[in-house]
Amino acid sequence: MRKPYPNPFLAEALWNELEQYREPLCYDLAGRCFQLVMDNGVTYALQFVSGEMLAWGERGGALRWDAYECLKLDDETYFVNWEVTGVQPRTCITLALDLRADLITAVHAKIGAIAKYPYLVTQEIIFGAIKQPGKPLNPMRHGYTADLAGRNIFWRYSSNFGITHAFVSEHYLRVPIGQPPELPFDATEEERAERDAEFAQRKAHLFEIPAFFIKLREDVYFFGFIEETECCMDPTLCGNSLIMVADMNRVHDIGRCFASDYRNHYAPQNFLFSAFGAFHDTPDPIDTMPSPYRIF
Amino acid sequence: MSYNHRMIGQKIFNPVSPNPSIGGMKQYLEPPTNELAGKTLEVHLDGLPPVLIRFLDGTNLQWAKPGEAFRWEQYEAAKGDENLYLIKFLLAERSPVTHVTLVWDAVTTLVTCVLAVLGADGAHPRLVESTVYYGAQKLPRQPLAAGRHGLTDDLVGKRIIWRYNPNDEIMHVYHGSDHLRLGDSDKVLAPDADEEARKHYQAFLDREGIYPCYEEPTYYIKLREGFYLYSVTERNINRVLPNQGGNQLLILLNALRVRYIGRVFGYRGDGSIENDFIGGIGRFGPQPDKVESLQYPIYEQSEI
Repeated sequence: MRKPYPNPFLAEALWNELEQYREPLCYDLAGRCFQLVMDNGVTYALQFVSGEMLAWGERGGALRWDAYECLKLDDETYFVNWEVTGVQPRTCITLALDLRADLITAVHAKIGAIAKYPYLVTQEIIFGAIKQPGKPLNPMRHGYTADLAGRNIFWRYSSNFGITHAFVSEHYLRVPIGQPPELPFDATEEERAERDAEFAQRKAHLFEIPAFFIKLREDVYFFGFIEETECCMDPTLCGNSLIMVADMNRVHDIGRCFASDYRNHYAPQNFLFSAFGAFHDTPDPIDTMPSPYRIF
Repeated sequence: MSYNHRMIGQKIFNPVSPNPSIGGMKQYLEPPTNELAGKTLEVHLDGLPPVLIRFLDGTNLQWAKPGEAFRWEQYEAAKGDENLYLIKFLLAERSPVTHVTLVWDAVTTLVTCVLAVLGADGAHPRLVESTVYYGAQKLPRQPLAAGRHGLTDDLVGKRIIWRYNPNDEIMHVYHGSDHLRLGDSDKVLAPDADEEARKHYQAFLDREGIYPCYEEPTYYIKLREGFYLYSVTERNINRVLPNQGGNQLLILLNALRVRYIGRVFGYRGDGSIENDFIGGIGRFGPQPDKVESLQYPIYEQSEI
């Protein structure tokens, strides 16, 4: 875990560097029930029993309980995430719940589904609609988009961590080489050396990963990526998955990280975060760098 | 861009949204919460009659004192933490304009109420006067909590640089137990500034000769470990420049995550009532700002 930015109220870091700015968890959905008609042919019941527990299952089957977490992008857009209890391989379900259009997009993700890459996340995106009483199902769906292709956003996750996402196309994301990250004024020589080594690594090794971009409505996007490239080259690394729903007018996103921590004995991770961003068009060597991994 | 080099009126670069970014102090604001809908809160504030509040939905509430008919108000609520609520509403039938802010800690059951009045001081009609009441939530068959939120100096001597949008940062210097200063900043008018931004910039220029450092009265209230409520009232600026300032900013600070939500109450530049949530993300400022070495108080009452 990166050293926290000096905070006189924290003796030690309570969160990792992605989590600090997370908004309070949202309990708005407690008590609400939804019927989700998904394009995989399955209809689900989803009952938010409380602010922390939900019951869900296929139509006609038994409901099962799981603990969930929710963040709210706006009054009509909720981001819901839970890990299915007691299931192997680890399974995570993430929903973009769009109550304006009564649409839903779900991501069904697993870690360990491929034996050769035990820490790689694999995921399936499923579109669907929310059945509301007395109303026909919305025949529309959230859809893939190229709106963000070619754009760069610098996201701040915490007092001392930010990163640029360069959406180089509608299918790939890169991290610019940029400048070495700033360190707190009291950073030690060891921390500076670690930062310099990471920066040298970044210059030598293009970070490029597959991504998906889905538009929910004007200004609101659901996107994510899996850190797949490095994991496939070195299976001892983790192919973690980050998924976000973002308001691109405010340049603000909320999301989740479904992961294993290779720096900590592959400990399971599944947490929510918030990030606050700024578009920029600062040129970077990655803008024109050919991909060493893919033909595109 | 940093807190001490501010570009006034700089447009926020946004190549994706068809509309200009919202900007100001609301861009990074979290959405209001609807989770109070259906809840009832019986508040006992020290020295005042109890009040029963019924949250009808996410934006409407009714309140009444014992034996009185319920009155209907429009409210907004935001969260400082999972169970810590900042609730605000105007009293629709009250004159002069009166604003209620409640901080309700649903874990400790403690409640603090800030009652703010606009225009109570006839000589300074823009100035907000506020009074703090401490109390607790009454739960069925349980005694009222004995503890109270209380004034604190925990923040004094510290400083936080707040970021409100991609272009703007401001440093709050918690300089003393009864006042706050803003970190020193050079302000430059952006080349593409619009008319409103030019007026805003001119207001800064008007202040600088007679108001060299932003220093305003403050009180700091501790809510629980790492959580604070503090008030900043633009009293000095309003007395120096009667057509400016006077507003009150109440900030619910999560010092652990270094985030805040707050509310502004007062007059906008166009004369309408401002009653808005604002919010920011921050980092503690490690080094003293030059305003911290200035004498205190900068603004003697006799001078203004």
